[in-house]
Amino acid sequence: MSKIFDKALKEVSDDVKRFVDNSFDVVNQIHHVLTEKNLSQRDLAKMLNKKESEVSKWMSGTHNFTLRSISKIESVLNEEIVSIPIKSRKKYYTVKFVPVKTHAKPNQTYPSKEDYQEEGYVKPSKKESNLCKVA
Amino acid sequence: MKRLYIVEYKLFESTSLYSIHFEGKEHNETDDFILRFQSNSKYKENYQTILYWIKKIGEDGALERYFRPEWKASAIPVTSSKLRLYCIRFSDDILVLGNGDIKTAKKVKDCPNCYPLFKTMNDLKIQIDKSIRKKRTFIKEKKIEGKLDFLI
Repeated sequence: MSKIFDKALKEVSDDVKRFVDNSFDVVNQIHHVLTEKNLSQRDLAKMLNKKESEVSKWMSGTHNFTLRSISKIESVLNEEIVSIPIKSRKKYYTVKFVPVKTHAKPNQTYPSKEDYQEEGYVKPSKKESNLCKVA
Repeated sequence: MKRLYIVEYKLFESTSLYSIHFEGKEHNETDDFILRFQSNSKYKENYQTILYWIKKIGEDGALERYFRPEWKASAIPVTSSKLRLYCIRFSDDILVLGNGDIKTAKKVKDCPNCYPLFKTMNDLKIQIDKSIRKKRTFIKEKKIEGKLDFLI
């Protein structure tokens, strides 16, 4: 394991770290939108009237995006790529509390913790469903 | 011809980084890059960008889109700079780092700094691929195993 790399990494300045972090975030967001819309980098290049090789360079994680180029990408994809904290706060703070009412029968069983997996809710077993019906 | 060894460089959560070490040299090639550029004030920002980029790749995975293909090998470019670090990407989990330098010509073959580094990584990729086909070198999940020395 390289001690020279570890030592050198500690000396990387905060602004360089932020630059690379931001660049990766932008690239990953663009990639996410492209995947969601079933588009390729080639499609994006065509939409922007750019060469595919240029768009590939942007996706390296070290590209210094300008606000102009981000805006163009947002425009052709019709999606937000960059969120500004003050705007996001305004947008999301308007939904601070959502009242939720639940109605339950006295003997109703609920799925146990194990029934919740990372990918979502697992259907209750037949036994559990029957218990609900009985109640 | 020189003998080189593929050596473990840094293990991250997502990616195993390897470097290459020429027989008889004190440092591996990636450490050599660091030692040559850590005091270069002109390229300080670009050099630091490459180092932090390596860390990000280690944490996020060596995804294909992050690399600039350079024939059979790849390069880590800082798009606003001429500084290059050559590498071989085997998968999202395995990356072999080489050495780097300042690219002084538009085409790599015309650059006396970068061409030898580019050639080393490309020749090495060919040799490793051969060795994998002959079942002497193995890529197992996040590790390169078996024959790890090559004549370049």
